[in-house]
Amino acid sequence: MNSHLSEAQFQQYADAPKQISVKDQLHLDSCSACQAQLAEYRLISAALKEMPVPAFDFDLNELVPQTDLQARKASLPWIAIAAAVAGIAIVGISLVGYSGNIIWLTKTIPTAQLYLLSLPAAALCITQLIILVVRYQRAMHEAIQQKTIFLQPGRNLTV
Amino acid sequence: METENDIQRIQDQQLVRAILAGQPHAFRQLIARTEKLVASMLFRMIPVADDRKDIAQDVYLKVHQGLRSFKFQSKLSTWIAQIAYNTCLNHLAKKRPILMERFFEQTDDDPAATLTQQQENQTERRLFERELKQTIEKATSQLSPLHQTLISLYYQQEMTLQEIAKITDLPEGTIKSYLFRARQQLKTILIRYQKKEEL
Ligand SMILES: [Zn+2]
Repeated sequence: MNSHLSEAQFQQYADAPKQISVKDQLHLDSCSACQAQLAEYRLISAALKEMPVPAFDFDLNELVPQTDLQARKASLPWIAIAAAVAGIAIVGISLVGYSGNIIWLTKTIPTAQLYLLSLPAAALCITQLIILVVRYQRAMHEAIQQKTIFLQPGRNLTV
Repeated sequence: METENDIQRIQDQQLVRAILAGQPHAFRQLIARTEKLVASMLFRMIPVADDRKDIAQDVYLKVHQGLRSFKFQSKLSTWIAQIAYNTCLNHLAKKRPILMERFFEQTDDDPAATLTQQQENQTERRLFERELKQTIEKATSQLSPLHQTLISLYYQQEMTLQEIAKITDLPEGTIKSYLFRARQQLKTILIRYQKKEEL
């Protein structure tokens, strides 16, 4: 007679009977000890599968109301739009208010210097915008992935 | 030919699109579809019943906030389970550090020891299948929260080792050996009961 099946094999075959190899099946057919072991694990698998699934004693739909979620979703673009409008207004008012100075500036300083001033300013604004978007995305990602696994060993705990 | 996974992904995509489009009841449908999974995890991971409500709410708010960035690299349910798992761990670390320390602890003591004493007087009775299932259920509740969570995901939610690895961020080999150990412990209990029956 072949050697008996291993504990790992019993467990595997109890969960997936189709995976039993021909050789192992032949052994099982002739070995009552292994049959009994496999039967034990089958019972355990069946019991684990049929364990009652717990249910919340509260209504999640009330805890996470649709209207709240809609409002959250809606409120975000409005804040962004308001900020954008305010930004444009400030820039616009400044341009109008200082138009004399700006015209004077473009006329008096050489073109090269004008580019030297305006290009870095534009680059700075664009970089800031990209950083803002990336940071927002990262913050969202972290909020979801966030976890703290290990506490410091030997840490004193107060109850 | 479309596999089961393809169909699942299409269903997930339709549901997420509906939620993002603000379709009424779409999020309700998502809750209905995943509530049992989240509950089964929270009940295993969070022993303090009062905490579960806040955590469940937190999980679904995070799901809603994160839906836009969900890229369907996994099933929607796996992703939600991952959020639930991390939210539970985070909660334990912040609010219940003692429970957090116990979470990953191996259960070295035999869960059968307490059980056999509890039911010493019942030996006369025949061990019906139902009783046996109750015994295993009780024994399971004595395992560490992590073992319980893994068993629940594997047997009740019928997730693959790969999916569980993604949710828990544990190597597949570790999950395998945890499940192996848990089943071995349960078998010891089962044998003890059967021996008692024969007395
Ligand atoms: Zn054998």
